[in-house]
Amino acid sequence: MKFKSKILNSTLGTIFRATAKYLKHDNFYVLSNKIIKILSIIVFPLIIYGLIAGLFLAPSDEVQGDGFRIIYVHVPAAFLSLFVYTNLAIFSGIYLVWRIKLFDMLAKASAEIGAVFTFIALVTGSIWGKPMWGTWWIWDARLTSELILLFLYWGYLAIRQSIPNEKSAAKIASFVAVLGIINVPIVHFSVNWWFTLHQGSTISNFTNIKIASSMAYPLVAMILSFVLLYVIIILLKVRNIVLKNKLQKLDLAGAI
Amino acid sequence: MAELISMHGYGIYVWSCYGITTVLVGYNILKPFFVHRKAMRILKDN
Repeated sequence: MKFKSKILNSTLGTIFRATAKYLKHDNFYVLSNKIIKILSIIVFPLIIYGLIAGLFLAPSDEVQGDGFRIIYVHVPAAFLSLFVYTNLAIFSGIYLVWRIKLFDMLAKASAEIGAVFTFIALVTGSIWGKPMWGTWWIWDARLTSELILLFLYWGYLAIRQSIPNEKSAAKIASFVAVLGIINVPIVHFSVNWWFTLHQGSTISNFTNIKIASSMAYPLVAMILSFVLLYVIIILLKVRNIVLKNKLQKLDLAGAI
Repeated sequence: MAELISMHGYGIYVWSCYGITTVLVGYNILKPFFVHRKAMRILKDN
């Protein structure tokens, strides 16, 4: 008892209390509205810079010519496919342990947009592969593991759609999401672990960038833009779930 | 301008990638935005 009150009175306790306030759906709704507005102001100039610099200002690649400009959408989408899945597994894990509904809502929203980013990564990679490798698709370790990642996202969403009991669906889907995290390091390290046609990482960390700065800055801007877009989209989706729950209480959910 | 579109033969690949990404990401931003507006209107009316 004494130990518990010691924790609650500490700095950690203050941080916990400040954060816990936003686990209430109404408070989270208000907070998400503010965050969406702030991030929208930041993301707009960042994405404009990334697009203009990537498409028109960065010089052509010596080997790949102008075809390399596909990386400004392919690499951010591929990065997000892994980043979002990691978040999905964390949110699902928190939901499984503490049964906090908000994290289940965040997980569901993450799965929906994560599947879209993975699909974009696969399609743009395939379009890039045609002029560079001479084929749309090859059963390469990176491509195959990324395709499995897409199936994991679709599997998670299919479970949520197919089980009528919402609580059971959330529990089973969360369990599958946590198990599926094993595929994330496989996708990331596949180019190192196996001999693949897919090239190695362009940016493995921000201190070891292997391309010229005029090419790298727009890429970093696009990756940051995609991360901010992901946050904006999940907040847009979660605040809609909060509103839908309110409408359900008023028996008006069928109207949207 | 023509050079910008053709990108030395890579234009069809580059522009289609940007087009697909814009449509998919744009749809996922606009759809929840309009759903929210509709839900707010219903809440206000009731």
